[in-house]
Amino acid sequence: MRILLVDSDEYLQAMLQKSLMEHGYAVDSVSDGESALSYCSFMVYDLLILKAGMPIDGIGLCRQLRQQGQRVPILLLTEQDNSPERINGLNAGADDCLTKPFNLEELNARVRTLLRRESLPQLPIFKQGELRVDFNTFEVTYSGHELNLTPKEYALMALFCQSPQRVFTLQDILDRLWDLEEPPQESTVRAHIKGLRQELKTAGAPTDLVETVYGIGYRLKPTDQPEPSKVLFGRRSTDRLAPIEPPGQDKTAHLIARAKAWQQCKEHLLSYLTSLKQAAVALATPPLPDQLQQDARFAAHRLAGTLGSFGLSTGSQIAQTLDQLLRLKTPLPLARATEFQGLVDALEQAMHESPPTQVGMPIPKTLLLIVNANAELNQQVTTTAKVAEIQTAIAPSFNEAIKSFEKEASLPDVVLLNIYFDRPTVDEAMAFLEYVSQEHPQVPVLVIAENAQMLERLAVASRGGRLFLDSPVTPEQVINAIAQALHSSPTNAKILIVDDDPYLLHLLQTLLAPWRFEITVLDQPQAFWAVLHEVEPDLVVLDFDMPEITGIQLCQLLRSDPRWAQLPVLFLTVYTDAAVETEIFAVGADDYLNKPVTADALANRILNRLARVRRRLI
Amino acid sequence: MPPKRILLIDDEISIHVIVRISLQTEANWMTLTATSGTEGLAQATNKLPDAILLDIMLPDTDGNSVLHQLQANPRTQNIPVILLTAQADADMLAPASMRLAAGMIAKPFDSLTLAEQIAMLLGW
Repeated sequence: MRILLVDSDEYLQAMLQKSLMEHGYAVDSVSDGESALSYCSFMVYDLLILKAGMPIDGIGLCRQLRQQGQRVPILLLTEQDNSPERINGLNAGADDCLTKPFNLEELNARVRTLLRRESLPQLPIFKQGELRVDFNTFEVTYSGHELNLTPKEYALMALFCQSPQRVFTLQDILDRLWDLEEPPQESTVRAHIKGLRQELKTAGAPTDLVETVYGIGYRLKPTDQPEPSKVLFGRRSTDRLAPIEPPGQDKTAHLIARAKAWQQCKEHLLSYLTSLKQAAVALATPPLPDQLQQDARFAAHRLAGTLGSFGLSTGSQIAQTLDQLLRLKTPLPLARATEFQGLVDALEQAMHESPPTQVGMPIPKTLLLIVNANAELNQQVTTTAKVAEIQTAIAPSFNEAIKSFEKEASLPDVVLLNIYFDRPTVDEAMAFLEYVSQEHPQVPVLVIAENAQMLERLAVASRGGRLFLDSPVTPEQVINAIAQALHSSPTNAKILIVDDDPYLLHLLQTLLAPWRFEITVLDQPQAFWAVLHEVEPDLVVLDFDMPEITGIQLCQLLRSDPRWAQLPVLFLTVYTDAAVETEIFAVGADDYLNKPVTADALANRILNRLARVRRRLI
Repeated sequence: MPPKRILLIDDEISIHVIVRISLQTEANWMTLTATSGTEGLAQATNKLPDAILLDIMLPDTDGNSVLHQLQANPRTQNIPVILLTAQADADMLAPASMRLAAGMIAKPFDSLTLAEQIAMLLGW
């Protein structure tokens, strides 16, 4: 809830602002009447606190606001126990008066009382299309059918009608409809919204009359042709869905300019790593000093918001993870400290790469682990891989290779294993191959060997070797084989994306085009079952929160059918709380992503999930 | 028609660089820049850009406050403002700012489509 504080006493203003903010209110402060009128002309406040006396003349201001039709509750602060001033204030339209000096607790109590007293309806009867809300009788009807609402559902309806088209965040709703001392979980609000929608549906209203505005909250859907809700919100009418072109040849100039810009900014952005590295060291020997945590969080936040715009999406995602870790108020356990160090290392590595300058099939960020190869092959493959923007790591022994799998940051995406069938190391090589295929089935292993016979090839295949390359082999052949292993199956994979937001569907379909998935989008979850059987997708992406049928319900539907029980399901959700995460995994989903999602992130999750399925099937 | 002039208010210099490149190469728009709320308000008043990209996290003040001051000034109140914000900063957005702003673009934005997103939000 938002309060405007009007007082010329800077000390008192600061003290009141601090106290009110500590009680959870948003507070704007001004020190003169003219500013107060200006603020009131473009802001909607839930309460005004005005100083009564000069130089502000709060009583005059109060009268002026009432004459303008402002219904906002006003609390007047009088300088002394001056009865005439109090009476004048109340006559001018103030709702309450408080005499200085006053106790802050009393002020906060009066504020709460006034805010509770604020009447919800601004119109005696609200009408929009077939919807009619009578605030006097608490009756809500649609097409003449009365809705049987609970008190909380009615309060929600009234709130939406009070400011039609305004989007209310969950926090807005909590602030306005629930007691501040005992705020419920956000899931409670969603449950009430669901109940309201159900009642509206029963009365024949469209299912999205109470509309979910992506990433923001809820609102009453306007009757005129609405603008689609957006990944971004906007208040201007957009009667066109601007086609967003996937990267094409005409983007080359942009990409080259971007790569040059990266070189220009790289050193500056790398400087943010300093505090992150210091934090990593400090975390290993706790406690992490507050100032250092603050600096490191600032750095992670900066990199998270910047790197992706230069095309370094992996770096951006790692920085986001670091940012989240640094936001935790409790000290990180030592195990997380190790993870933190790994993430900082991975971030530095990601920042030393060049952003892509070519368009076409994007190669997900790839780490190639070369095992048991000679120096010449190591050198050749590393050089060629660099051109293809593939990172390489060389394991000089099988033990070192296995160690690479033990850290998230060094976990390879693909392995190149050189096997000498005529040397004693062959058993170790086979054991390593078995280890990878059993413990990390998502990681394909490419095997190189010289003069391998059928039985030797069979031994490799039976232990999970993905591709077999006859030595000698050129580095280009190796890179092509890697690309084949990483991309061949997911290409043309059929993806069904279900979301009630047509704009988001349009955007995802366009942005994912370079990955060459066969994408089907569906904004009517009730048609899901029919479309599912028609498309027979390899993976389904579900929006968590949809009117009428939720993503959770659709996932339960899939998991209850033997044919679809194993179908990979990936959720998109705006919610970041643990309860939602638990709910998603509890119904058998495989993965989830928080909105807003980037095309890179979604494509990589899809590719990873498909790769896991592929390994399971082999 | 003269190219659009977009004022970017953001204290991260690398964002200035990438926005300038993005808007120049994709739409031939001109980018004006400011690194603080105070500087941004002065630039907006003096140069009257066609639109403002406003980061919500600024060193001297927060974007909500800048937005309110832009709206309070008759010279700048009609300039559409698009908020730039990271997902993690969503909590910092005052509901009033969401009402006053013409839209919001999440950081990191895609430099390839930034101009298109702005145009779409503003109906250009």
